[in-house]
Amino acid sequence: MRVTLAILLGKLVGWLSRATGRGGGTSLPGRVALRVCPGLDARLAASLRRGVIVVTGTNGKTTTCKMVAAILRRAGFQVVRNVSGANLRQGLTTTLLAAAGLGGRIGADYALLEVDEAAVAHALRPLRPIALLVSNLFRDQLDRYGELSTTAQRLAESMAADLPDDALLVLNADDPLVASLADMGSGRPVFYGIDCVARSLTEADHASDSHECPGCGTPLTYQIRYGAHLGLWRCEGCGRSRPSPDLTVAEAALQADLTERVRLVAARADGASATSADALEASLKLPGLYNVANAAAAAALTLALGVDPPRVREGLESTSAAFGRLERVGMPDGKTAVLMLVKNPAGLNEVTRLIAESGEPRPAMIALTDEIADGRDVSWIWDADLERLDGRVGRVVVSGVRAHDMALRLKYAGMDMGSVEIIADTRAALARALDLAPAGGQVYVLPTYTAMLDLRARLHAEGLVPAFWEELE
Amino acid sequence: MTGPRLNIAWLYADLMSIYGDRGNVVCLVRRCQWRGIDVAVREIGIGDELDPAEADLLFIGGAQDREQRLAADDLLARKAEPVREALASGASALAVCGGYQLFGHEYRDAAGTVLRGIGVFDLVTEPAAPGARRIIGNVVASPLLPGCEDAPNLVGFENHGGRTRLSVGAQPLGRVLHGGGNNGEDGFEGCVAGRAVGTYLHGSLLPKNPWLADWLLQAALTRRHPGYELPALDDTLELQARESAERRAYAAG
Ligand SMILES: [Zn+2]
Repeated sequence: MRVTLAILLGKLVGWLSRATGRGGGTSLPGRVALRVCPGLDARLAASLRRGVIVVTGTNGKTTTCKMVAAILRRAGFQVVRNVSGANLRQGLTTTLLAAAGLGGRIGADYALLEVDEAAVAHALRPLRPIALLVSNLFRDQLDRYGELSTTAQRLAESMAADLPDDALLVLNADDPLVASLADMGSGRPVFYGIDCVARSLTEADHASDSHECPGCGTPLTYQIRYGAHLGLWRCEGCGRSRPSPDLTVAEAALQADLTERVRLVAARADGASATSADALEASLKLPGLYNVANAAAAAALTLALGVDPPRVREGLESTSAAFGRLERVGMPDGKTAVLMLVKNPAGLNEVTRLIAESGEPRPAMIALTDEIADGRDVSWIWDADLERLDGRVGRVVVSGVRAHDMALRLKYAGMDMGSVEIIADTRAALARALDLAPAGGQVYVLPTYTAMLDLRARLHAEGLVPAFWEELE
Repeated sequence: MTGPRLNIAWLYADLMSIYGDRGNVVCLVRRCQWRGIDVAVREIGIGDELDPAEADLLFIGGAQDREQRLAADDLLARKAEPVREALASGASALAVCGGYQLFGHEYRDAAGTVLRGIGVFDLVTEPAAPGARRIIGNVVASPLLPGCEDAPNLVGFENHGGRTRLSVGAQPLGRVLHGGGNNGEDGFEGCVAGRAVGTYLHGSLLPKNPWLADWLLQAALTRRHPGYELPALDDTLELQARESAERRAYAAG
């Protein structure tokens, strides 16, 4: 009775907040329902036919979740997902109760929940997931979350306390901090990683956190480095090294049309060497090594859940960019704006690297803002390798409330300031960047989070992009 | 004829580099290159020797707690003497955030650990009172650096738990107009001792405060090239960025 009342009230609150247009109602319904029935979230999670999957990490969560959802649906499962950002307990409960019947049951196989690395305890404790995926841990908005090692520490403590022993624990072997989470002893670790020398960095990448061995503090050495602290790492101090992946990316080739050809190879359980029968080839609509890593994460998770490889390939190939992550927007003038959210040095490095690798210099618009949701501190732009853009990007229009900071960063990155313009308004800045592109051409658009929301809302008003809540499913 | 020469020693570049500290080094290097100064950066890590005769300008940035402890041990054991020697023979220095704390006499963290500093600055850093918050946000400070009182206000971003207290007679870098500064109480920000500047401001500090970058360069270059005068640069964009950051500090907090 209490359960039914809680769900009814929660749904009513959700309906009211949508009807009155006061936001998507992403956390209030959960808060109300939990007030009425404190254990509601655990009860709803337990009603799923298969269980809860939690995806966390600094970068790539949304994209990885999209891929996992596409794969699971191709395999015939029903999947419930949360809205990105609504990942505290109330938000997760809102997602679950929206999918539940009044009897307190969710008629789906999986709930796939994207959760910020600092908020994992909100999901692990009440929901007892059957799988936890950790993609990477980067320095992200230190003024909001505190320091990186604190985040990793809290994540490890939360896992030790609340991750069921039989849960799948899917970890990125290339990230030393993430790989070391296997030492917590909870869950059944499954590792994925990238083995493509061709895509390694040639120069030192400066957005590196966690240079030191998470076990003993000795500086790590790298046989291959993919950016930041990711790569084939090894500690000379205590001998720990990158775990041998259960699923490895053996090849990844960026194509001229900004797609990515990948070849994934599963390790044999008996230790025998893999054959072509263990390989899976796919063409990703999402380019860049970071998306290759997201695809490997999604494949490792779903293969471990027992999904057939052909369904995994179909799911990966059908996935297009998540909201603003690499979204191609056709403009009325026949040109294309490629939206790429940037919110921290590692993410910005991934994007500048993609721009550098894609050859042809195209115009770019970069918008820098410092609202609470972005982090007030814009120092992070100095930790990103904007030097890489010099000569590989066309003219640049900078925008946003901290446009001058970004212009200055480009000046000290060595760019010719004659090719950099400052236009405060993001939509006007985009229009100018499009003017600079040839007929039928593409422009890169690199906004921070709130700049993206602003720009996308305006493009939505012009009928050029769907609103993000419509696009999620 | 070759241009003047300048060696920058970046202490613990791998361990103590956070909040865009790298931008300060990028700024110093570029401002040398634009003037035809032959500049070199040497990263000096744990266990490395610091040659006081080579290092004209020392830079040390901030760190997370664990890295700061690792660096503190090495700084005290291996670098204290060479740092003092370099400064005594005319080198300049910039120490930011965690590096600023370690260039004082003592740093006590919230866990009660005491790290001894190398005492370049006459100050100590204590943890915040129980329940008190980290000091986080945009800062504007009017310069008190002797001879530079008329320079544009310093702008930056601070993020520190520790409260730094200057001894009586120690020279602050600036007077806080907006933000917390050394301890959130006495209205001072940073410290100056001879040619050494310590501060909580990152952001990065130097690109938006080019006069301070040039002060450090001028001081350091004088050591090897007496009478050398730094040529002026076009700092229009730097000053626009400084002004916009100052406006933003008051608007956004
Ligand atoms: Zn080790």
